Amino acid sequence: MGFNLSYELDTDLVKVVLRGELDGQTAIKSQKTFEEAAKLKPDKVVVYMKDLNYMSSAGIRLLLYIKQRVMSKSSQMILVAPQATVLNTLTMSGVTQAVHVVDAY
Amino acid sequence: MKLLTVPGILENLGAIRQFVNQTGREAGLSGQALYDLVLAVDELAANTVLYGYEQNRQPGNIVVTAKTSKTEFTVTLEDTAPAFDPGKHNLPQDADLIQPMEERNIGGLGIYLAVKGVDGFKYQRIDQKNIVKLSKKLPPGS
Repeated sequence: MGFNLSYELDTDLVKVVLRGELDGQTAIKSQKTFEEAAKLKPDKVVVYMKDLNYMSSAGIRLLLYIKQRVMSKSSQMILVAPQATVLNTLTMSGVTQAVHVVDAY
Repeated sequence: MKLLTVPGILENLGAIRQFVNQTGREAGLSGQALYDLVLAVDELAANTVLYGYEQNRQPGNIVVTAKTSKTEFTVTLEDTAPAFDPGKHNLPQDADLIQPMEERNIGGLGIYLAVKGVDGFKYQRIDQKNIVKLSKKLPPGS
């Protein structure tokens, strides 16, 4: 299974949709597009994860990179509907203590 | 015993995950337990590619072996990169993982997730090869 990242600009936020498997290869390949998306609305990035079936630490590092280096300091990153297995990785990595994880947005 | 040999490049991480997924499922693993093992193997394979082969400009293969016993499923990863014991890597501490996102620098996160996600973890250096064994206990009745 591959990986796909798409994004759209809404009024006061940018919506990023992740699908497939985010690993060491696909995280590197999609960094530029994710960066491009976050720069459009660096205050609020909403990441839709329902169809993300797999995420390794490379995906965690990508989220951290976007939040630390691309978004503004007071910005908000919201992760929407991660699958239970992906949520477990986010929790073990401590990401859920630093960003909002919600069922729907 | 089942075996997969692939060149150690990032493009092959998907094939390695697929191999572990399939053999693990055949052995009786499923759900979070299988996902954790796939993640552990993927993290260590990615580490071998990036820091073992690419960083040292020394290409090589990754050999993945899957073996099932009565009580556990074991995946062995072999590579010919310079010696590297993931168990001795400086892993992030729990305190590092509760820092605000802006202040974090999580080195070793992949190995941390790999070690936390398996029941057994063993490293050996034999004949110029790194050999890592990762095992998961099988559910009763598998």
